[in-house]
Amino acid sequence: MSNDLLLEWVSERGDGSWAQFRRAHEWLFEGSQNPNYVTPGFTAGLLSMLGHIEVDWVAERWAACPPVLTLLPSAGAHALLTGGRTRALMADFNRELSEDMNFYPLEPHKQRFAPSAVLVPCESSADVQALAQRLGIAFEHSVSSRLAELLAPLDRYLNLSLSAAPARGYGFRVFDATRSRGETM
Amino acid sequence: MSTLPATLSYEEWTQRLADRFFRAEFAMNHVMFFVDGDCLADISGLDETQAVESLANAVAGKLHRQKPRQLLLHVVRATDQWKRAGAVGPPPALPTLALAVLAATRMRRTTDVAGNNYYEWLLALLRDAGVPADKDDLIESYRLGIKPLWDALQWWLDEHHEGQLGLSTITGHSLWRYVGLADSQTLFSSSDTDKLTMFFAWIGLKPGESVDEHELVQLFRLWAARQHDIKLNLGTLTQLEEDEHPAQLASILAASAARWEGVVRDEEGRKQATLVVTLDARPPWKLGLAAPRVPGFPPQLEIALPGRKLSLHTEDSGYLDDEIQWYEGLDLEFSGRFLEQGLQLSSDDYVLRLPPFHYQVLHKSRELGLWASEQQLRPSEPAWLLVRDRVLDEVSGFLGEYAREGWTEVKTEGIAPPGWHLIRDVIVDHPPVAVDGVLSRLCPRTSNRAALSGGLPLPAGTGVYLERGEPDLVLPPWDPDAPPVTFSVDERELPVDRGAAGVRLADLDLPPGSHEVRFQGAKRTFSTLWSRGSVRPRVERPVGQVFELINDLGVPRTPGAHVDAEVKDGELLLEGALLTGTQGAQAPMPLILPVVPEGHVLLGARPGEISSVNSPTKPGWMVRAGLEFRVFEHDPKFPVVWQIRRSSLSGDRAVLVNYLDPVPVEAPEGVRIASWRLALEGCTTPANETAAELWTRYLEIAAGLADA
Repeated sequence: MSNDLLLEWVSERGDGSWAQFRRAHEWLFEGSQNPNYVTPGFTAGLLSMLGHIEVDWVAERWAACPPVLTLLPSAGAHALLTGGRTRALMADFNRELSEDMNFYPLEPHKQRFAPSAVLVPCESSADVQALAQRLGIAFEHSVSSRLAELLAPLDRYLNLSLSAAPARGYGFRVFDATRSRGETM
Repeated sequence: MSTLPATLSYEEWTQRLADRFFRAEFAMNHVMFFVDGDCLADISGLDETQAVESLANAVAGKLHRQKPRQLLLHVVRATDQWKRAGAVGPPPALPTLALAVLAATRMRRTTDVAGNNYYEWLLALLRDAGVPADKDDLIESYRLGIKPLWDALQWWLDEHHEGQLGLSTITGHSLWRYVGLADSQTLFSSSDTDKLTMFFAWIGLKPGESVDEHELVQLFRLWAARQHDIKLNLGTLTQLEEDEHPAQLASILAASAARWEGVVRDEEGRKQATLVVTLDARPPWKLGLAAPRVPGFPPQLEIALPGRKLSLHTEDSGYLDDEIQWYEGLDLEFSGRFLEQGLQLSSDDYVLRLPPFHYQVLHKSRELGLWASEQQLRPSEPAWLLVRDRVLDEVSGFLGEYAREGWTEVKTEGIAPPGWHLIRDVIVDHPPVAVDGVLSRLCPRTSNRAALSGGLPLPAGTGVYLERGEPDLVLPPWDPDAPPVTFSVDERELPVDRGAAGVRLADLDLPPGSHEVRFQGAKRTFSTLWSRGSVRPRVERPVGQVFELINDLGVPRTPGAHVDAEVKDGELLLEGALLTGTQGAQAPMPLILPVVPEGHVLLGARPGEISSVNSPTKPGWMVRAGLEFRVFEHDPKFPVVWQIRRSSLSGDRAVLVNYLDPVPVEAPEGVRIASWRLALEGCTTPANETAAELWTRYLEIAAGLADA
């Protein structure tokens, strides 16, 4: 599948410019039946949300994330392999799963606009942690919990973001996108 | 001797030939010593017949007739003396060489270009001048004497003047060792040599780039067939029509390509750049012109116009290496006349030209921020077309057949000049091969050469790609009426689809390794890797989000991820799902519990540490994903020692989770204490010896609570 090949490429390549990502995306999906909104930006945003890459939109650079085995919350003790997925890693990963009796290998779950999800059902966090160690990658059992504890509560951000009421009496203009100009109301 | 007097002396011919062919304005350009009747007439001011006879007579007067097999001896000695005396003035061999080239030119006009036939033509010229030469004597004389004369000319141009009067194109044909020297000069007239720069620009040749001779010839053949407004001379055309590989043409093209510095010249030898038509598609829409600063052009340029001057200038900084620089100061009111008739802005040494086309193809220009005209439509990229009335139906028909749906004519008045139409949102993915003539520029193409394009490149050297991400082979324009063509990959011949503009090599299941692709003389190589061999991505410039820790709370240092982020002590870096740094809260590890109907009871080491956990329902996303739901995670509020699995059938069973000694409490009271005790007392002892021993101690604590 093209999204899987795209993930393999960003993982093997490591990092690059936005132009390089865009060209690779255009080459991979040329002639595909994807809807118009499946642009390079759309795919990059998805890959970022899924933890496979990080994108610096200002500098127009992207980089594959370190591979991580993580336990998803409320996921029936399924570990997810996220971050970069090089072919060397996947070969080691599949070999470990086939040899380790603690794991039941699952077929990667195909997704329409994203790379296949690689899930590993487990019965013990310690088993997943040991697997990550053998593979030489990180284990994180709940990055969302860690981030939730790390970040300030929302009300503290809101307290910092109070804005003044808008000035009145000057009227307002509405931007007409079809004509690319503002219209005074 | 002929009764006709020589109207120009040998020395006059020498000077006039030098003045015509070898001049400072040709510095560092290849010059062809192309001599035919027209050229001689032009040089001498005589009619063609008189000019040819005058030259032949002049040369005849210098031949050593006392030695029929060394006819060129005088000329050779004179040339040698000229060189030893410091090579003042042009080589005295010029008229003799001109006559030799004239014979080759006349030979080229016939269908028989065999080497022996050349001497017939040379003999004819000499006999007309009254030289009763025998053919065998002439051949012997020629072989003895002609090469030193060509060598002297080559030395004079390339070494003595270091190319400042032009560079030689004298090559010897491997089959016609002596005749080939004269023959090499018949391929181009001096005007054709300038056209070579247009050819090199057409194939996208980069200065210093090495191109195979076979490929150059094929491309030249293709280019020459498409240049309706460029007339190559008969010699060149003859060479191109030969079935075999024209070796002379190949070596001349290769030599010229090796010396090309990226400068395109017009027929007058001036450096040339192409103006572009621009469209600002924001209201109020506006057509305009832009002038690129191409190689060889100065940062400032003065253009004389009637009544005023245009001062064009560029900034020398702020451009990336592969960006085009654009002149500022092109203050010209756009007119439809520019489209119809073309436009030429020139100074002494430079010319900016807008060719008149029946339509202009405009693509987005990143540097200009506008739609800007290009030579060729690019595949799968949106374009606007500015189309002349007379070809509108033809263009519309082409778009109807090959463009994606959605193109439309802009009806708003006042944008396109009268007699022209603006069409927007034109996208053509796959070009038809069998389109020539007016519509050929609408066949999308990124290059006029066979090239490798796209694919999934890796930073592991040049031309290295990920296996299954092999680049496409983009084909140059080729004759749709030609016999079926093939290309080869690693010496395996494969047919080319007639309708294809390229070949998707990634569909060929090539194994990892080095590969060679060939198409009509062009050879391209690339390599693929299955993997770079690393479990972790090899990242040169990581991108991540940095959090500063302020009062133990993380505050993002920048809004969003940042490249080359440096993490200081006390900060955290988030890359995808990985949070690293010197500090950072660690969430406790969850327990994984089996899904059972009756649920679980969890007990801690301290009396009162008890919680009941019911198995959750299977999440909806797991249902959709078809995943099994046999276990679930639970985050306990206290360190769990015992997990009791409830079962009305087999009774409650305890499983040791963490080996922790029981912690007695001093004043045990409350419901939770009682529940803790009852949960322990209601279970059977675990079978495992270690667990059983610990269980016993917990029961003792529980018994003590009952007594309290």
